[in-house]
Amino acid sequence: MTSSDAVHHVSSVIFGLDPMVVATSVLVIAYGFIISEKINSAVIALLGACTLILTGVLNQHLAVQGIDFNTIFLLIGMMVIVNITKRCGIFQFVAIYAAKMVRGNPRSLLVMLSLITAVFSALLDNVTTVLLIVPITLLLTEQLKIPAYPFLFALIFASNVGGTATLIGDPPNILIGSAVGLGFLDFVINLGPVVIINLVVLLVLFDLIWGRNFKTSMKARAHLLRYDPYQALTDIPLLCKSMFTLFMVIMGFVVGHGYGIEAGTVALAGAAFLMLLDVYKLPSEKQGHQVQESLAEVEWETIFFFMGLFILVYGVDYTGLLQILAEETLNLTGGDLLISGMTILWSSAILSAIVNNIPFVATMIPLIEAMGPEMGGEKAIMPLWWALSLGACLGGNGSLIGASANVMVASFAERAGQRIQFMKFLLMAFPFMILTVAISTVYVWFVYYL
Amino acid sequence: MPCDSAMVTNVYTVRPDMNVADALEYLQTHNIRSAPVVDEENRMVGLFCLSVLLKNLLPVSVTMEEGLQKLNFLIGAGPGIAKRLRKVKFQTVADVMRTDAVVLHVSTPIWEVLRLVVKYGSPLPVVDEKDNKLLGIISEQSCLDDLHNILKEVEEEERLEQQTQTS
Repeated sequence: MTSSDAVHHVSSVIFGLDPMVVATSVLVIAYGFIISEKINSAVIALLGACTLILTGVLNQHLAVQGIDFNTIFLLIGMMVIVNITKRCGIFQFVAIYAAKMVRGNPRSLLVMLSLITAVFSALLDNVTTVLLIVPITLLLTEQLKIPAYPFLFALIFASNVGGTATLIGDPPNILIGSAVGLGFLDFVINLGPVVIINLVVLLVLFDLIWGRNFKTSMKARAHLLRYDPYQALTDIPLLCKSMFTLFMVIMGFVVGHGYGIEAGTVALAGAAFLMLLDVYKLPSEKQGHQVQESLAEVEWETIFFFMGLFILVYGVDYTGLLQILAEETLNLTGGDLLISGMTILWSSAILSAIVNNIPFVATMIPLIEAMGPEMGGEKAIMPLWWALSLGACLGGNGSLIGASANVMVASFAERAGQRIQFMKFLLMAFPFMILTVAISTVYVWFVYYL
Repeated sequence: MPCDSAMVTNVYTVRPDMNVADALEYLQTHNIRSAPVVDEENRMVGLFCLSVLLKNLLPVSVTMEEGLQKLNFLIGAGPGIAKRLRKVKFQTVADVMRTDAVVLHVSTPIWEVLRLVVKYGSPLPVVDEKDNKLLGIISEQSCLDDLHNILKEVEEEERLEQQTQTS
């Protein structure tokens, strides 16, 4: 991390090139490719990471050091838990149950489905949540003969806003929490209130724009009332096992943090425990099959993207570029916490709307860390982390490609023959995103700077 | 040619601009379950079959990729499904036909034909490799008939061989 560490490695870069120049060029080129979206981002990140090792900027040992395995373990653990949990049909159950609870009233249904999505997104990853909620939403809207677009729009916002509230809700939070050592409750306490405010404001607006204008027939609603949500539950023993594990894992996040047990350990332990419950008493060849399936469904593309990215960022960090950038930034903002916080909040929001927010957050983290000592130490820069999280998570709402959940919803809409137009979404979503960031600005200013 | 002896050449076909109700009646009168869809120049453009029609009755949230896995929570929806059938009947064959159906060529070896028939069901259309013109179909029945004919020839040969050996 410090410049003294870097010394022993400088001489070994090929052709005697300056390691900082090589690392920076590789990072810039890789980010260029990631932004252009011409080639799969995981492949780019891995190629970039390997280039750093092959050119001698890092060696393999250093590269591995650069990977934040707490984040990797947390992602893998939660993915395994979700993949097993989703088999039991709980998502469909909750959605249908809610639809029946509001007696098929579309106006209330919009609110209910948004809230469900927000809660699930806070506890599980956003992509899986929308993956499971969107199909049932399409069925319900088709049954009620109402347009699906408002629902899909609301689901995107609910998943991104809901995910902001917890450590595990959204990848930027996982990255920040892991790097800074923040716990589950830190996120809930600091970001929970502003997430709830944002959610309420959004739901009121959605209701004004769409909800109150929905028209459906009593007949269509009567059909919906005949749905039997309990039939959607495919595997009740598995449901109990999954819910128990999920509860234990979240308790583990909360309690473990105080004892220095990291979130990655808790998530992996939970995943292993749930796999045990899942295969317990099965014949051995079936056990193998079941475990393979649970592990194979982990989104390895995401995992390798993160690993490559960690190495890329570590390369520029190690060679000292981030230190220089941090000093420059400090000069620009004059070391003022308020200006830095607001700059981070707004720039991360705007950038996240346009490009993948993960590379940005991954780069910002060591940058902010490097600025820490000048700005008054770890405690003093806490508001900067919340600003980064709020900006990166909420910014994802700004466009159809702003977050992976958006892309997932869009692809479902397309498959269902109800394509979401990029510009149509942008014209409405961007102002909404700006509104949520503005609310967050006031919140951050009020809570941390007054 | 490897599989043309198993091919039936007088094939009942439908046109893409036909409406579904007429196409269904056509299938019924000829007592068949599926028919290749061909344009004016006899080029194959799709496959119209009962199973595709039924698939069209399902909500799109089920048939799409990664859609709902089960619908057993939907109770008492019979009339609703029947109403969908009414709607589908006014669509054209082109709207509901399968465009990704597996096709065979005359050069396809008989083993491969057998494998495809077993895997994708019968009948499979045979088209010209170059211009995609429909040449005929191969069904489970025509496949089996062809194999029976070959078996007869083989047995005939074996019998002749035995005769020459004994004499």
